[in-house]
Amino acid sequence: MGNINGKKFGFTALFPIRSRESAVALRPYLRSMDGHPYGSPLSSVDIIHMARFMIIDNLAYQGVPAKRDELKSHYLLFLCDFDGGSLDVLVRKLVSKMGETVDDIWQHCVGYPGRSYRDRLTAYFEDCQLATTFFLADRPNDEVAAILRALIYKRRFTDFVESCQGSRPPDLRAAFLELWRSLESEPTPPAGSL
Amino acid sequence: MADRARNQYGLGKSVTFNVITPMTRVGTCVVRLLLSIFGRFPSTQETAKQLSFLSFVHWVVVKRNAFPRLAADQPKEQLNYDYLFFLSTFNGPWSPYIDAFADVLFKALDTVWFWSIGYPFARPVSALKAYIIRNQVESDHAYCAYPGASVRDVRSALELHGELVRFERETRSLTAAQFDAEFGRLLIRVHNHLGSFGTLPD
Amino acid sequence: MDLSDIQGNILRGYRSFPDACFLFFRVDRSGAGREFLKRLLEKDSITPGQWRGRPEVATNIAFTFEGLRALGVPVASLASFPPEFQEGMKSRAALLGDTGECAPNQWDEPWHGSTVHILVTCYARVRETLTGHCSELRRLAPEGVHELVPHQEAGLLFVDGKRTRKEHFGFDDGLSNPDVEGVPDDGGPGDTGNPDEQGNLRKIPVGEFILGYPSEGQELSAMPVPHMFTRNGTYLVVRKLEQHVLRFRDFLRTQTAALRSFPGAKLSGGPRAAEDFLAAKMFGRWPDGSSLDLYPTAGAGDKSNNFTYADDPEGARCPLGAHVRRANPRASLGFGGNIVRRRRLIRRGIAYGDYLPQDVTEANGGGRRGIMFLAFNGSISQQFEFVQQQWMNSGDDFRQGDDADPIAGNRIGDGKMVEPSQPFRRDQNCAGRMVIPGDQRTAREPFLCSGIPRFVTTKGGDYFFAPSLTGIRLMAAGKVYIL
Repeated sequence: MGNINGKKFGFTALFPIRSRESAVALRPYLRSMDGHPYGSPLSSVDIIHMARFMIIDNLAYQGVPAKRDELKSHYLLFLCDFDGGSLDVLVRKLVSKMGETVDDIWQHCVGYPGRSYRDRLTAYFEDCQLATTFFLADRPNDEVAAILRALIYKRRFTDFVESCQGSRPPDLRAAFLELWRSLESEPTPPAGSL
Repeated sequence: MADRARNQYGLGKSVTFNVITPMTRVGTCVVRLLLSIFGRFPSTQETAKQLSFLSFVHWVVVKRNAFPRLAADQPKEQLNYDYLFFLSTFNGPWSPYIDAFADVLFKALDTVWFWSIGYPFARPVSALKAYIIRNQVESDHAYCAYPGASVRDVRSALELHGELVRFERETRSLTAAQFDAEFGRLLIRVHNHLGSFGTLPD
Repeated sequence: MDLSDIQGNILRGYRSFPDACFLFFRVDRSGAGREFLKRLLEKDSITPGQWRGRPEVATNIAFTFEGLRALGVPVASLASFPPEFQEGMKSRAALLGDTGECAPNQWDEPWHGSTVHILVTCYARVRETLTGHCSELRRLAPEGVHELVPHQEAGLLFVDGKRTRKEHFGFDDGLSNPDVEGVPDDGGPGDTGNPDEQGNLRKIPVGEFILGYPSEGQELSAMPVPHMFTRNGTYLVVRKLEQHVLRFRDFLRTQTAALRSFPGAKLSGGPRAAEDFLAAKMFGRWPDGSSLDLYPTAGAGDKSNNFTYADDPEGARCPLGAHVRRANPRASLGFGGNIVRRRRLIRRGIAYGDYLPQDVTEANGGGRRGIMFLAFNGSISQQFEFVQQQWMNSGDDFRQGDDADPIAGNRIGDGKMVEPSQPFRRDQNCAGRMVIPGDQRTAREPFLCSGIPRFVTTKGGDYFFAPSLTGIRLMAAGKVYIL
């Protein structure tokens, strides 16, 4: 099974961070990213369902008789659940849609090759990738756009049902079709907006 | 709260939950085998899906020598243990989520986490919660493409959408009276898909 | 389990004590506070769960965290109490949905201006004895303990001249309380256990409601230290909930026209049929207490509790979001009841204010009315707060999205319609929605109530600890020690 479930790719990677100073700079930057109107600069990559970043700087000690493990480097964990069959799909979109923000994050990581050569960046991501042993997804085959559109349909249709109560419109079919056409032609809401 | 997705309108319903626990080499072998079995047989997945609060879950085994080393001057890690990364996204507060796991999925939990050093068994649940707190790592950033929608909101929207597509197609050649009647039947089919949703007030 | 050490009104309610008065005290000096407790104990004033002779007025006592502190309970003990109890209910207002009209800055006195330290509840068999009893209690309070006014009177409602167990919206109340293991039957109408794997109802471990005993999770619930002080004690949630009866009746009336023309509605029985139908669907029971699960079309005077919703998965009989179904989902949420079993509450609420006759429609209907909501639980966060947040103020577990409880739920955004310019924020009408599911068998269509205002507003309350008699004696003697 690994990283794929249905149409979804569950990407997990650990990127070693250059230095303690880099980690100290990176963390507040990551924590400020949710100030974006749609919750994250990742929202411009419209194939991403969910994602997270976390800096791993220590491993918990379980207490005697367990031994203590200490990490010599800090690591940036990036987990990303997106629509696609391969990592290249994600990297392409990160570069084209997020632009400089990719540098802002990954410049702190060891071996980051920059955005200019996409295949080098994909190779870099592959080098840091962890194999997911078991990946569970609630809706493996439903893409981001389909979910966003369905949510808008749910909202508008519920409002429509409410408006029809008490007295059905004289021409219910026409009213329904008007709703239907407006929904079908409406652009997909931006990711992160709902 | 960095753990929770959000947008400009408010807090999201998706909460990230990360637990990293140490395992011996034996543990790693067993867990990789067990997880691949769970991957192949849907029954455990079914129970987790029925709980209806998990969007995505990743179980990732990271061997002690598998922490990426990309430069000669990056020191090599020298660890005593392999690590199991449990990375999930769920809805709702943390404590009832763990209660539900302990009450309903304790066998699966115990089977997988037995091999993690210091694991206390899922029941009674207070010891499990203390173990989780010790080994939990907070996310620094969490994103969801539909933060105001819970797992159930998403499922319900997709099912409703499917019903509407079918309805529109199948009623094209009906008379007005027939259409009205079919609309009534549609409403009865979708009546529990009409709940409101959205981000929550800060 | 020693019922003579556990305070009364917890495991067995005061069913034959129809009138009540709640007194609130503040402790200025810990010595005076302890003296007050000593005097109460000397006069045998505090009523245990098992009495030798039935008292004329059953009296009980509970303390907020600030109250325990003011009485000199040591810091090491105080620190071991759970965080939600330490904070108090006022500080948890946002979490509980006590916002807007319900916010603490709108609460009644003494809740608004003070932190209550000691709550003394008095339940009388005969109303006339209450005043004298309360005066005596006040006399027992030494200098250094002062009463916070006003006190709160409460009592079973008189409807059409007769004493009833109805609440102000007209519904029979207190019909279902947990059926607790080891408690002798108090002759109530039939308490309800938790569903088991087979869908039958079984008794609930006492540890869910009293500290020091195994709970549903088969462990001892967390107990603050020292255990001698907290064992046999419990937490009491008090909420003064004002009920806006005219708002409720007006709302039902506005929906009547829409309901009558409803496809498949088949409303039978008189001019108020539509209103009664809607009210029952919102509550989950008919006003006479019959469950919608057993009696979907009309009340039958049967208040029994032998139903589980197992055969009503779509809510055709009792809507998934109806009030009583939210408060106790029984077998609705699957998993052999494993998901719901930790969320039960012992409710001992009692009405305050006079019942408003049906024909009163003026805004000066006179007086204010509501319910003093009292709930006992072993864990405030796992029980009361869970039910309030997850089941009252949210509908996700019932497939109702963010729709809150129609009777007691909060309204997101304080019930205002969303501006058209903010389409992404929320559904258009946040002023409270409830779906009344349709019925496939009878072809009754679903009805979407909207614009539901807040019928119930919070006007006060707090989190209390109700110690055992042993615990009270230890406090009175200043002997709560941590080694």
